[in-house]
Amino acid sequence: MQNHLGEMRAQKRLTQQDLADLVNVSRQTIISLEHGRYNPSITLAFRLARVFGVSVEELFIYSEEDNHD
Amino acid sequence: MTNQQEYLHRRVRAGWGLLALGAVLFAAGLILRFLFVVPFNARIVSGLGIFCAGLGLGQVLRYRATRSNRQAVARLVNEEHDERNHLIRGQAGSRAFWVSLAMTYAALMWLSFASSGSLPTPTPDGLWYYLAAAVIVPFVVYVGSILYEEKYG
Repeated sequence: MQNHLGEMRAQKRLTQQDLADLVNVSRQTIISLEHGRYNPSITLAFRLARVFGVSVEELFIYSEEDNHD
Repeated sequence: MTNQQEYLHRRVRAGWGLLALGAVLFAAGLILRFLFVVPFNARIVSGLGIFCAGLGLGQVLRYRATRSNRQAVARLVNEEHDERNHLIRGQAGSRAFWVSLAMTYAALMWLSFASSGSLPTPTPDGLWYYLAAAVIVPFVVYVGSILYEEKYG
């Protein structure tokens, strides 16, 4: 699933480790999320959206093809 | 005390418990070996004790090393509770399970056909190597799968 995590993190001047600490996951998970290799659980998606003060839909871009992941 | 510190203390306690169990097993192995006649090699018990003590010591050292650093504690706990790590381990376990199932099924089929004379009966040595492989191959699949997913997943 595509997302704006990298850009939003850069705007907030957070490192991947900072963001990982804020949402209680490992840095590797943030890296995988930013590369679109991993789709987060709904809880993590909400936690990330809350950190950036946006909605989940603004952070993650869902397309029908993602259904087959 | 925060939840993370509480978790850390629990893990350290579990490590000490494992270490103590290892020491007891090691001592029991020595006692059995020198004071009693048992129908098995008592070194197995001592070996199991050393294994448990090693696991316990590793756990104690790992968690105690981070004890004074709050951030390190938080990261260690995050790492262990990380949803992606859980997913990777679950997938790796599933792959290892299917490999193990396939190997056991193949052995069962071979022995069934061997008993009816359709296939040669396996030698004890051959069977031993096959059973050893049935333990090692799924483990290798499990570890390999984790390493692969950690890198590319």
